[in-house]
Amino acid sequence: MAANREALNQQLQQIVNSLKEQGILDSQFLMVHSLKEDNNPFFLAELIPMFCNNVQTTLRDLNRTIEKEPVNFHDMNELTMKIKGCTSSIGARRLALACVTLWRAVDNKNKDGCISALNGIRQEYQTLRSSLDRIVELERRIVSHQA
Amino acid sequence: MVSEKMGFGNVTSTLKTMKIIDTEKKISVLIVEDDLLTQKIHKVMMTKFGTEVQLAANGKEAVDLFLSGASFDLILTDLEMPIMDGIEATKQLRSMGVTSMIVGVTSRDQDSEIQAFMKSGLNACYVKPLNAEKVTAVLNELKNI
Repeated sequence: MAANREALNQQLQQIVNSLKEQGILDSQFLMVHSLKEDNNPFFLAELIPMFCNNVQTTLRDLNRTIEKEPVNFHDMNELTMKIKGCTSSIGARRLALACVTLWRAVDNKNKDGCISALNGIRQEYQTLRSSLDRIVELERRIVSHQA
Repeated sequence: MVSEKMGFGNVTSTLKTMKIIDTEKKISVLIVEDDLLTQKIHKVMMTKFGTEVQLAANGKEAVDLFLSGASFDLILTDLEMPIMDGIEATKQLRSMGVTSMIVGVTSRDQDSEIQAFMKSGLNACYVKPLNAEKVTAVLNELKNI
């Protein structure tokens, strides 16, 4: 049982290290991961779905806002800050940088730039999402081995 | 994009790990944040630093807590929130005579935005993410007051 848990932890570590090397995650993610405690072992497994839901909802709202004429750049600004905040808080580095690109386009009131940046955010999120799903799966299996 | 701004000088801490600040009593912290994900991360982080944490989902909830007689050593407040934002909440708390340390934690990173937030009465302001170094600096500053 201990050997299985150890193997799962190693798998998880490899995935996280690889994502960090690619610049997809940063040290903030490692810090967030370290917040997991014995009395809340599912912390990361709960946090990641919250994050994904946040991103998906905000992306949907951003898409709706950019499609309206005229574009409400004030609303775009607020939504961009929202997604920027949660991506940086969890340590999703490349996704947070993609949000900065969107912010610049919003600040310049550049609709085409916003659309391009939103596509960039979607791509980064898709890249990250499959790895996050794997991390959640491993976290749950690690916790079930500890039980 | 500007570098991090702080109200009380440069961060010199090089701590890589979280440390529990040695105080005689637990520091009480009010986290004012509408985003549930960020609330959760900040709450667990501050708890791990040995502080006692309460949450408010917006500036009005924070002000109402003080009006009801609550007090906190430290307030960590977001800028943009529904109902009442961090600037308005900070102004109201200061006009009520609240002397708690109030630290802004925001996604905004433009100099003018940080300055506007600071002018509302903050002791310091950080750009997200809130990490162990920033928390250590804040709690050490609080301990020195």
